[in-house]
Amino acid sequence: MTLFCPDLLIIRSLTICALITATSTFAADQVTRISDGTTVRGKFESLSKTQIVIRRSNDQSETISPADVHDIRFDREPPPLQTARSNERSGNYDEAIKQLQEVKAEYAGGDRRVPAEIEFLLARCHARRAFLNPEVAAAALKLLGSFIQQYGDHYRTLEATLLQAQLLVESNRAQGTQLLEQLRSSRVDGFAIQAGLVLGRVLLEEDEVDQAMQIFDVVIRKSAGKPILQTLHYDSRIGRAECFQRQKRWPQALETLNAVIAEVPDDQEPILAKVWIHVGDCHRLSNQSEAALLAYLHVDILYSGATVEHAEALYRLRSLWEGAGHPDRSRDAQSRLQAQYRTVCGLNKLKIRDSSRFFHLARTAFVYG
Amino acid sequence: MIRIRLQLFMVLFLVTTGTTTPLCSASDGRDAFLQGLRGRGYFDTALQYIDSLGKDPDTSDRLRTTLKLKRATIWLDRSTAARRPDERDEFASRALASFEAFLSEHPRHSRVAWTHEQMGRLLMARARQKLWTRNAPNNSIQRDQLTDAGRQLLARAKEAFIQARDLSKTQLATLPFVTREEDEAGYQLRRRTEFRYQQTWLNFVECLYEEALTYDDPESEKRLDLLKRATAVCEEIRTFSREGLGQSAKLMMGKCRLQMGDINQALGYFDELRNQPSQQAYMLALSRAAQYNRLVCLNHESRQEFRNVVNEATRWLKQNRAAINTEAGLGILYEKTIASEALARDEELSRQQRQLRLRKTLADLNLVSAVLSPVQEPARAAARRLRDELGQDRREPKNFETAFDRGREIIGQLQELRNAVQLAENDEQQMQATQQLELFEAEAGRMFQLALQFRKPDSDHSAVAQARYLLSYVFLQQRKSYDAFVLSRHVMRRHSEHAGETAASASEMAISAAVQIWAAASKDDRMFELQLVHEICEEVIGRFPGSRHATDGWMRLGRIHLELEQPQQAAEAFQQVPRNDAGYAAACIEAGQAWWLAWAQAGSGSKAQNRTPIDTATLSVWKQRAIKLLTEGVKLSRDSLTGSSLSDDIVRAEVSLSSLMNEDGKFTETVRRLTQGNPTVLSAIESSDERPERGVKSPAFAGLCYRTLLRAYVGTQQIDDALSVMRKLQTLGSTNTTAIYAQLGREFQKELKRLRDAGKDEQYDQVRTSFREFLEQVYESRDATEFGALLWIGDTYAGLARETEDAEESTESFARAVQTYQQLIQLPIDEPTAAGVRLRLIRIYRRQRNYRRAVELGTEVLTNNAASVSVQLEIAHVLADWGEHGEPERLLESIGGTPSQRKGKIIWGWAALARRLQKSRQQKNWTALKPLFLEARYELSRSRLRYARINPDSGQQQLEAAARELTSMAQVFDDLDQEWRGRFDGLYQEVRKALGRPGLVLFHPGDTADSTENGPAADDDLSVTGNTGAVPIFEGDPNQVNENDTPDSLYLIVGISLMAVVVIAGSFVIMRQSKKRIRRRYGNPSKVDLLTTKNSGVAVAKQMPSRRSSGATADGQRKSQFEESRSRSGQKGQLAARKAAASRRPRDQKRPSSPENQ
Repeated sequence: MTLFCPDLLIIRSLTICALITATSTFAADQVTRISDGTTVRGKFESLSKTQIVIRRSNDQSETISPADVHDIRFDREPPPLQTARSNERSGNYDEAIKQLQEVKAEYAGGDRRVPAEIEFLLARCHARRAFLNPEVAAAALKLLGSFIQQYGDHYRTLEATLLQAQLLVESNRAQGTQLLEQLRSSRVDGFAIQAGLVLGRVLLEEDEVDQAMQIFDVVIRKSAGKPILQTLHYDSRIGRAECFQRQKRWPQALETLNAVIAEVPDDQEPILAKVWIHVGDCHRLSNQSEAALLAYLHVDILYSGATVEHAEALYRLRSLWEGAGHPDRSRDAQSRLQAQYRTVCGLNKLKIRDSSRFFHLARTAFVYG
Repeated sequence: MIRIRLQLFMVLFLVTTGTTTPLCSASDGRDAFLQGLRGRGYFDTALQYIDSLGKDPDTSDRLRTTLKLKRATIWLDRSTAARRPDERDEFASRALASFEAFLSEHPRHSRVAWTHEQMGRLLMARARQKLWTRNAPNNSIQRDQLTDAGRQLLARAKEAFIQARDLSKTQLATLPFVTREEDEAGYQLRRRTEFRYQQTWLNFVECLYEEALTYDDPESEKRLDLLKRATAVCEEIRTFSREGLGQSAKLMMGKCRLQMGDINQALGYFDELRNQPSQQAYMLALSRAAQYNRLVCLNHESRQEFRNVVNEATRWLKQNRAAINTEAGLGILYEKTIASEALARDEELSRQQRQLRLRKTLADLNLVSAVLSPVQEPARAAARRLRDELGQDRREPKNFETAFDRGREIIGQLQELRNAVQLAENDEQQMQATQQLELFEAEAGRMFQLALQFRKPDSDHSAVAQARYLLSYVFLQQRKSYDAFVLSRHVMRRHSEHAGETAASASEMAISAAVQIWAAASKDDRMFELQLVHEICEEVIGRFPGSRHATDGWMRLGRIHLELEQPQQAAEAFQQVPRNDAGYAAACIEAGQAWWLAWAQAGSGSKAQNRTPIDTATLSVWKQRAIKLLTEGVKLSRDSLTGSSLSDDIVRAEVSLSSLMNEDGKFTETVRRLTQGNPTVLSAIESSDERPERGVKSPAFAGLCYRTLLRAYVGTQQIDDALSVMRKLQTLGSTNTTAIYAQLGREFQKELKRLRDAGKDEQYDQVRTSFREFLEQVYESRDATEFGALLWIGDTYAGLARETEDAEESTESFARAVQTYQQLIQLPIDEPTAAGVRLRLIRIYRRQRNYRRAVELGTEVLTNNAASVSVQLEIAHVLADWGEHGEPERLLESIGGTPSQRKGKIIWGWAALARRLQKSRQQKNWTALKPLFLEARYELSRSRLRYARINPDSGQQQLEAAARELTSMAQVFDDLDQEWRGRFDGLYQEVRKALGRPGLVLFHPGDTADSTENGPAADDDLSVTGNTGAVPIFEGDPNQVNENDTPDSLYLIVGISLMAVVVIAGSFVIMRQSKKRIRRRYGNPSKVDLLTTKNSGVAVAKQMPSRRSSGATADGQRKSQFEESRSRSGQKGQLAARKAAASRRPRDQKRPSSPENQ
């Protein structure tokens, strides 16, 4: 007989809540994937350099690549740790570092995973800060090195190594390149491919276009058909197009870029913005001003949320509008550029005129930030 | 023309129908980009992009087929945005060509109906443009051609709308009827198609209407036929649409009626529409159109309500400034010009006034002529006509000098016109006078603007400066504050060299304009405007240092600070005026007043107003500054007096100064200031007529002055003069005499206290004496019917009696007080007020030790209202005092109440009073009752002590009882402040001393109290003799003592465990009650666990013990829960108190246990 008197319903509800709560509190580890944004909850069975295994409440295990980790949380970790992660994600590195240091100092729990995670997060915050301000790169490198040394087989080791390599290519190109080569042979595809991408860009910067093309091709092949590597796949194709650009093979570059445009979903704003900038560059460098104008306008009209690309688009549109006989639109682009992007990436000392390197650096920082 | 018309139709279409299916879906990046380009107005780029899409092999077929349509839309947008008519035409033609190309290439496309509709609108817009311009003089030859061309375009438009209608109808027939729930997308599609179908009907009606208007003869058959057809279609539209389209149809019907000469019916339609309440953009547009057409009706030759048209139009234009440039707004302005011109010609006006009105009309016509609209050409024609007419006037300026002189002449007439506005006797007169004034102001402005247009490089610089300055003055009067500010500041900056005086005058204008800007700004955020005032004042001060302009700047700045309630900053601004300035005296007074205000505010309400408290030294400095500046200002002002009366500023300053003198006890000075001199301040505030609401003669200010003087007279013991002032105060009518008395009394008390604290005995006596004399006089001359005065007299005498140490004086004062109170009781006052007066008498009788009389009176009061706590309290005191002074048994009565044999005692006594007050502990007014309760508790024990002291033999029990009461008080009431703790503690010491016991601190719960002080639990009914033991007025009274002490931590654990148990127990109780309910409804479910349920899938089956128990009753359970809930109600230290209590409780008197222990 089912009894529906209110008192019993209350008791029943409370019992159910208690059971659910009990279930939740029993195993509260969780990991959120980059690829599809889903969060898997359960209990970590193993955390190694190459894989993360988590057992769900239904007793099934799931394996996640360390390269696919957007967020990881441990059962009974100190709550301020999550706040620190949020600050890091929103770019508030100073605050994140401060909070991590506080958590580190106060943590007295017995879970060894937590201090390791804190150490990594600290190192990563410093690294991301160093991307924007190279003057603090040394401190970041030190922390990364210390982490890698201390936690050799950690699931964060490869990510730390990649960050280290990215910082090193700016200060010590040879060492950085060497590290990237090592990472390319890593068993974790995601990091291997990211390392390939970074290496490809480094080679491009050094005008080693053929080598860069080779590396991009490898990355394209390796990342093709893998949903979790989709973004990297597109990035590598953009890299390949950039190689064509350097070789002044405009049709091939445009073909590559247009293919990416056709494939990328509309909600992938950062990628589309990047692609259109390159399309615009191709047209501009091949003296097709009208087409270049249209390409940059795509970024200005449709993808203004991608701040670095938008700033670059406005920068280019200034002169293109002027040349097209629209001085009012040129002035509009100029004023918006100055009003909105005077302090993009904190590099407010760089003048607008001298912005090529600025945009490249900023784009690099934002790609991997 | 196209732009306005298309805008209106876009609004109509988009807002009412919501049927516009976007050409581009957001999901298509190319569509989104194209939309973005359109949105930015980059039409040329958008067209280029379309071209590139056409050439791009990757463009999808779907997109490719619509490229011509997109191109047409962009040309349409471009035409709408174009400013030049030729561009508008060209772009509209291209749009049309693109539409036609699309239709020819894709006749079966799903967008064909929409395309026909767009074409129809485009054609109609072009037709209207041609028809509007056919009346232009330069088109007189082509008029017929333009008319024919217009008709042809209208015919094509009709054709397009018919096509759109038929296609929509066909499409509608294919769409199934679905509800929103069944198929949301299908439902919306059907709705959109229906709207489009209906909209085409309305568009068709528009064409009929416009075509009708091409026939100029109102009686033309063709015209009437078309209008009738249009009306019929509108009626049909209204049958299937009441909102949106139906309202548009109503407007169209009104317009048709208007054209058919049926003015009354047309007015009916327009009135309905213009008064509709909806704020939707579409409906507001209809409302505007209705308003315009209404004015057309009123201007009709059959109505000629020109005055109404002018008034309505003026009102509408003022309230809808943002809509002036809409088609309707321009139409309204145009109708106003028609009416204004008619009025200018019909009314009996002087030539000058007629000219002015016509010029104003011309100015309005020029505004209308500047914007493309249906009335543009008629307005142009009218403007030409008026220009020709007015241009014959020889006085129309042709050069700078003439215009300038003319302007100055008009300026000279403005004051008279302003006076006429102020003296207007009714609204109608005032409106006319205002309109007249505005006409002249506008004309003056026009003259100066003309003059400035005519000026040449060799024009007189000073005259040019003057023209600008006067123009800024006109702007200021017209409340064009920003214009006035900019122009006057320009004059100040640019003309200081050639026209210094004008530049200086302009500085005042600039300040005035800045102040006007500030005053008009939103009160929530005036920082920018205040900064503007600051800047201009400082600039003026910098440019003209030491000049009256600089002075003006400082004074304005100071007044603004006063407005912002910043008296300190205001004072500092006023003090910047240099000594040698003519306005120095006024500045001194203002500064003094500001310092006085700062001192008064800081001294009185800094806490309440959230201001930082100011230290005494600073306050003193401010006060001295105020005095010094006011004194100086007043002296200088008086010295420079030329007339026979004081200015308001001087009067105010004298009064402020006098109040400060009174503060310092300098009453003689006050009297001198207010009563001496020629003229005197008193004479300035006298008024034989009705006093104004504001100013120094107002009742409020005069009252302030008299009160200040009264205080001084009393202080100088000039009693007769004081009384005389008192009478003057009373003649002010609205003055509250009682309030005056009360204030006077407070001031005296304050002063007496000050003198006493300062040890100034002689002065103290003097003031006291003078006050007594004053009081005596007031008493003698009292009005026996005035309650307020009598009450004050009584209270003041009572207060004096209490304070004096002179017994004779005290007796006399009390006697006077009694007399006065007895007189009061005779007045027709309500019972509560009478009780209040009787209470005063009781207190006096008590002081006089006339206890019997006091008790009699108290009994009298309490018989009517026993619940009067104040009286109960006082009577208990009386009885206690009585007991101490001759009749000890009265002390017992004070404890237990009287009469003692009566159950419902009239006089409760301390015990019952305390008990009753305690019951109010959970009430909202407990904060007010708590002190009375504590007093009752205190006096209860104290009365016992007093009794015991008088009757040592029979007082022992009372002492015991007192000790117990005080102990239980300390144990239960731990939220007493230090003062009460001290008092209770002190009393406890005395009681213990009287008991011959060693002293013991009352408020340390850790101390083990003497067991003899704890008796068995007593009931509520107190015995006077205390035989039954302690006062059981607190529940949870720890009268039982347990010798074993228990550690705190164990109690903590037990406490937490108990709480957990109670939660579980609560659940079981709920279950038990539910089971009882079930049993009643379904029979006995036996031992089924109530948590078992089949449906939820959660099976938690348990075997539960039988709930039938003999031990615990429901009451017992409820009682334990009640006690537990009370224990959780937040009493501090209760756990500790219980620990102490538990240690004293006998084992056999434990609390009822929880159900599970049974």
